[in-house]
Amino acid sequence: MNIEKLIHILSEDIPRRRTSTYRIILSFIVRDFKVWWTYKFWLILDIVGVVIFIVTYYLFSFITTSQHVQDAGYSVGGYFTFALIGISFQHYVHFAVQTINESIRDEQWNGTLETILSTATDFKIFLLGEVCFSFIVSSTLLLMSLLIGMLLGAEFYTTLSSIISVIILTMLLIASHMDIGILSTGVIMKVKQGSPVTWAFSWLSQLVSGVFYPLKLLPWYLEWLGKAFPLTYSLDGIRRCLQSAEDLSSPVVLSNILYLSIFILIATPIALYVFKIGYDSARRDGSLGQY
Amino acid sequence: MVDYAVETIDLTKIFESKEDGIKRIVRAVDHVNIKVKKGEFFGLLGPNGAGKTTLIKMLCTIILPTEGTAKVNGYDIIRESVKVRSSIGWFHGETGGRSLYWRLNAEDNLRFYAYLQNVPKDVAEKRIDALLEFFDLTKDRKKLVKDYSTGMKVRVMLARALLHNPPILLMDEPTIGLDTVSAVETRNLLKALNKELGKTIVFTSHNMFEVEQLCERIAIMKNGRIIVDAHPSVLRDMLRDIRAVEVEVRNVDNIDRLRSVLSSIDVVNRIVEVKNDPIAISVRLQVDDEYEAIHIIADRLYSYGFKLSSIRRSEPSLEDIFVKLAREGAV
Repeated sequence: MNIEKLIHILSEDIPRRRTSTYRIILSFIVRDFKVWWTYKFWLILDIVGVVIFIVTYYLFSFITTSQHVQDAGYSVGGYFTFALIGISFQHYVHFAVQTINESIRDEQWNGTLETILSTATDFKIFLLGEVCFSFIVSSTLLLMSLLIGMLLGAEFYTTLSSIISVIILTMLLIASHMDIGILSTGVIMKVKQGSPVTWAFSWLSQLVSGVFYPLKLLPWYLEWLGKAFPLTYSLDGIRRCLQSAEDLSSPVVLSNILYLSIFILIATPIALYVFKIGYDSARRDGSLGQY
Repeated sequence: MVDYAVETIDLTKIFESKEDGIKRIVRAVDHVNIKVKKGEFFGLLGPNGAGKTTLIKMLCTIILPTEGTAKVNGYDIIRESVKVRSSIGWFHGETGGRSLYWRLNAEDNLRFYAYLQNVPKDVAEKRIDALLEFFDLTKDRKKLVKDYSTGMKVRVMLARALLHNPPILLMDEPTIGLDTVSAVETRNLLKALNKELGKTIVFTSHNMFEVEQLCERIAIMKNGRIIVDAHPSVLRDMLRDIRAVEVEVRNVDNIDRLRSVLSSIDVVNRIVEVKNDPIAISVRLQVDDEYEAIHIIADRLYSYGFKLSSIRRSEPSLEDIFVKLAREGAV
């Protein structure tokens, strides 16, 4: 093609309007899907990992008693259903805590972060775009986990009101953990290394929030510590809905929702503030593209 | 009132770092004031580390200034960053082909950026086809970028900077990594974009002749400061009386001795630059008459036992200009 023809094509008038947010988000999802698809081996390993994890806890359930689970207020399904819910919703915990900082680090690693941030797209839309594909993957893994669990004999109450309650609790689980993710990304942008905040939070959260065992089995001080983590309230609420047919009319479920809402109200401005400090600091240091 | 596409007002960037507990301060960009008119082809010339890329990144809103500010297309880089970014196409050659998604093909890379830059789908497809054809990438458009050569990656990056047809192009070393033919084509395209579509182009390079060939005005940057801002003819006048010779000597045990021998030769005005490569040492010398100097320098080095591997007349370089300006007290 000669220069004249190219210039003619480039100079054709186009309507000056912003691409819709939906279209931009979709282009992030398509991009991430196409990149993800080139790692087919990892895709297979992810699925195999999920299956092995669930089968392991299924086998565990034969040597554990369900009495502790029932004492904790979850009436059907026994230990396997209890553990399955903990394991499955961990996909959302990982998504909410890790995705933003992993995406930004990937962009830095690719050398694409500065280029994206020099485009006309707003930073908030960029962040939203970065997390969408990961949300789809996490949701798929969660549904897959629950489905495999059901095939292995897990039991749930699935009334409309309990499902709606689970959706609300899941949204609060994601929002509360997203705050931790945003906060740790702010720290990472400043210190340029894996955030101790994320590491400590994920590790402790898994240990004391009742992912694999009821909180009441823990020594009093760990049980007390567990009450500081939003995952404790999310999982308790979700289990009560799916294992005991409770819903928003239950005082315990409502108190879980209240705790999570207060946590989000307090943590969101703090997380956004720390993120802004980290982002501005990276722009000041000229280190936005560095990992 | 003149309408400027780019205007910097005391734009300054200071980087602070700590090495062995000692605080280091680097003035990457130091009170730079430049005004680039709409439709102007402006060259920013300087050696590596002069501050060109930091200046361009501040104009792209990627780096915040320490002091001062700038306006791009009339928008303030600090307060109106989204509007600034809608007005620019940025190419950054220093990445050498990074800054693309290596696990996507060229057209997917371009399509993704087209949406981020508000180019409608049908227009994007047409432009992607045209740009890939122009940059000779049509037959490789479905190949993953990871399998491209550096030159091909650079061409995709150039296509990306032009895709949304912005009024201002910030071209940071756009011909770096390109073969000669692609470099010429890229220069011709930029020239045409400037002439035919009235694009404002800020073009950085450390290649003096490339900048001189393209730009209507040239600023030379060194140590974060603009030391010359002039028409290319002024630069040409500066170069006119510079005569230089480049000497390459092998197996040198003592560089100081070589320096001292070269300095003692009457026809040598000054040593401009010494490059100590593993195989040989090359020295750039300013002289009055290069043809006469070549014989005299060769004889003298031979008589002192140096193994001269080459000696030739050399085109004036940026370093020659810096030396000249320093002599005139301008730096």
